[in-house]
Amino acid sequence: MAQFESDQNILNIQRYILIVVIATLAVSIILGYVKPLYEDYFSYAAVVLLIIAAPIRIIAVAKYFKKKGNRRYQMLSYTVILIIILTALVRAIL
Amino acid sequence: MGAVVAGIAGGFLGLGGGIVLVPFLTTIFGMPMHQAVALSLASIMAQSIVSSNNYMKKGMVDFRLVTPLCIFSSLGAILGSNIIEFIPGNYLKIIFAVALTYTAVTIVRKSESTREREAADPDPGLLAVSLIAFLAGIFSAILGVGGGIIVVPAVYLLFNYDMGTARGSSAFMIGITATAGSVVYLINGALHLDSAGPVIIGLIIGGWIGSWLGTRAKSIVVRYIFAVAMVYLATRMFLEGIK
Repeated sequence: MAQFESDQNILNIQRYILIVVIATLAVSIILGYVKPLYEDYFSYAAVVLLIIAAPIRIIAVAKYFKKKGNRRYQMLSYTVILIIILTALVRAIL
Repeated sequence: MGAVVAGIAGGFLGLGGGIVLVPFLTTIFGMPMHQAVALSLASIMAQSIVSSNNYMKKGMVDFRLVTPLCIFSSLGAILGSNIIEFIPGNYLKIIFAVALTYTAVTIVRKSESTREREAADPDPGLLAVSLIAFLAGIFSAILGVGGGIIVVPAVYLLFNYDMGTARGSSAFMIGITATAGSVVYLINGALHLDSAGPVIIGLIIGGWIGSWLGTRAKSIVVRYIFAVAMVYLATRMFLEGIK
């Protein structure tokens, strides 16, 4: 089976994002029992964090390609962020 | 519990898990379809992170594949969602159901020894990946399915990647492509957050278990389970098509 190089930087970034999201969601669930009024704020924050995570992950991928000296794929990675924005805009407008 | 099961299925197969989660939320909890889809998309972003991390640790994610997949499947989805009204959806669903069944049979019948040889150093080229991703995006938007169910078999059968890398790369991609949809649902207020916490946590736990199993399972087992998922989807589509 072909094995591809994994980048520690991407792995760490994804791990940190996940820890923050899980912590936020855990607070949201606990608040659901204690003070239900504030529960949604934390759920909202977790979803926003997940949305922000996408460009952060892509920037990490772009840095991986930069490290490899692969400029074409580095630029393509940045294009992904533009495409996410474009897709969101198109769907919101239509 | 439903989210955990969806996460296991999604993490194992490199899919989003919406194939299990959306029917679960709509039938068991009586959640309206658009709310279930919105919540499913938001959860997929989290599940993608945990699944792709597990696949990455095993060297089963090819970023040269992921990057064009993200770009062109999103562009294809934009085009697909705009031409959907001009296309006879029912006929397309029936045709796609037949194609899915045929692909499932091909995946199961493909000789593993040949595959191992072919997968030694896959380099599909940017243009070929872009084209397939674009078509996958169009079809996923028209048919209302996630990109993973089209991308994984396409990458496996057309580009000679092994099943593990196909699923690992798909697991990374789905989280990125789900983001745009989640932004729109969040802005439009369709994302109801009352049940978001347990569902997302469930999908994270399931995604971790599924991808952990997925990185250790034998290719033949994965191929059979993937084929079953495809036949299930094909049956659902066929029934929708003949309605």
